[in-house]
Amino acid sequence: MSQRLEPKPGARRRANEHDVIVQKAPSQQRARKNANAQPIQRKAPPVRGHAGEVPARSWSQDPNMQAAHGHVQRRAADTDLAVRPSANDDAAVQRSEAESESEEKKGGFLASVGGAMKGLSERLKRLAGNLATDRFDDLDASMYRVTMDGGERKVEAIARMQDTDGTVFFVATGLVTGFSGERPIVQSYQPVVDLGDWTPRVTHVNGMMVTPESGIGGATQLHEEIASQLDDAALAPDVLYTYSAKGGFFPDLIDSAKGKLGIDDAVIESQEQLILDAVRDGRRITMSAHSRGTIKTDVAVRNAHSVLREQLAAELVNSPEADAAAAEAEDMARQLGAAGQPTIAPGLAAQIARRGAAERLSGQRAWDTIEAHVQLIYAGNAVKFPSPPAELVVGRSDFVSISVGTYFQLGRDIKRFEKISGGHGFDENYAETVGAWIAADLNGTTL
Amino acid sequence: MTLRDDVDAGLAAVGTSDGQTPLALDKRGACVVTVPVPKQVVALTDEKLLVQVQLGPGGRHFSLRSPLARLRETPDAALGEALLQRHYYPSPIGGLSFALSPEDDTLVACYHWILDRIDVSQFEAVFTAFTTGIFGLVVEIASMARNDGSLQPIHPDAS
Repeated sequence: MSQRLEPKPGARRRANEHDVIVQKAPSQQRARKNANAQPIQRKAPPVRGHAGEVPARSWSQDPNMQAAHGHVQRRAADTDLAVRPSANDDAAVQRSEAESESEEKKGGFLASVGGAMKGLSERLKRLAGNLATDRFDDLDASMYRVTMDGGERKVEAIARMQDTDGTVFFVATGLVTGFSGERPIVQSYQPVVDLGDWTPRVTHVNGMMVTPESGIGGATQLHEEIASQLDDAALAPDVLYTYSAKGGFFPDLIDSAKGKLGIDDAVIESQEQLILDAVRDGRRITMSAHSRGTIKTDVAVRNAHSVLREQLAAELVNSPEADAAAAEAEDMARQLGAAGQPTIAPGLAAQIARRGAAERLSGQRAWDTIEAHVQLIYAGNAVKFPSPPAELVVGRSDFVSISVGTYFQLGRDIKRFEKISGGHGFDENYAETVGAWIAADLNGTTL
Repeated sequence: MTLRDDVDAGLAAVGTSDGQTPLALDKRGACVVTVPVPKQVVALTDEKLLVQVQLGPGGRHFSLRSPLARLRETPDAALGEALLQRHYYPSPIGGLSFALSPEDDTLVACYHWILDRIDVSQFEAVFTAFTTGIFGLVVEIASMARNDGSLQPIHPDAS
């Protein structure tokens, strides 16, 4: 993911017309790892496909960058909810169910059938409309920051960057001034603005077939809900919103036919990097995800866990626990061999046990580390087996969670599970609860 | 030399050296190896992991397999989807894959070797990585089974 937003080393060195100098406010002077570093000329990050985009210099115009990032232009299908109802669709389902129930009470079976047909018709119409959301694919994994500025809430297009010394930082590339055809109208900053030491404390990613306008609206509402739950609303942290674009069913099939192999999902990589950034910086971050966004986030969490586990395992392979496991396995292999069982050599058994013990320890520590640094909230969960740190909130009539996600708590190896009234849509059903959970985490408490 | 010869050489290398009969493929091209695993690594049934080495039809490929769970009933689509999603990325599952035996509906962890040859050191490395990778999977499957009645894990106490 970072590669998607970062220039290739060669491209960074190449001085050309695409280079711009990042504006830095005095208050935004970031402490650099290399105190002697010269001011860095940074290329503008890609501002892809925004309505109203100023056609100025940007990475997206660099053929090298286009080649490097080309995979995000057409994304192959995920194993996602493509054939399932969308959030909007679910709202229709819930409405139709409510209508059916109401009709049933009023008119019996025939009336209930009529109500159901009416709901189905509405659902199909909405589904047909949603199939056109592939027109936002070029915005996939684009990031926006919801922030307060002089008492006003504003939304900026931002990007994650990395210095030559590896320091991660963010830049604002433009101001979202409105929407056209449900695409954000971004008034580009020239030059882009270095956000200094700013790092995300709260992030959010949307579900499937959500338009950018709707998704940004959801993130804005989440920001409002968090602020309303805090004693001092002015202390509400910014919300970093990652837009997860996904075409409808047919575009997914087309992309699938083109072949997904080897193509990673930009949103998953983005989420993974946000987790690893927080862990490495020793910060805490809240990652809120809705619907299909929970699937992507959960994969990202598992990938981040693997990275951390592998790092920790190398340190634990000679731990006392690993030594003890190796010694015992060696004895066991000897006994099995003596009993005539087809087994492996004692030395190899010891080696396998040593690695296994180190990975078990490191796996546990990696989950502990993630849990210490990441509050993970899945709203309208679509993950069948969520990661251990997950906190789930599920609507009692949430069609997606009932059909594909985690709907019952029994036996779940997760941190929290709560059912609330309502259906699948984020804004109307989940934003308030998620906001409250985030506010509690910010206050160092748990609701 | 054939791939079968290579696999036999690899099995002989990983097998016990205590004067026992060396590990080798049988007439059906199969060999089941018992790997002892102490509880402090992972709580396996009888503290053993069974790894089947199976030469494929035609002798051009071989597979490593280890049973993870039996299916009590037809699993729902969400379970299949979760398993498929899990091995889209290699790291969380140790580079292994899931497969369902068409013979007895057993969910297995598997790794297919698709090249024509393998040397002894490669076989040892693959066998070691496969076995180590299983440890995480049995924990994962035991966790899934606590939430999905269709799975009957081979190692239910793994955690």
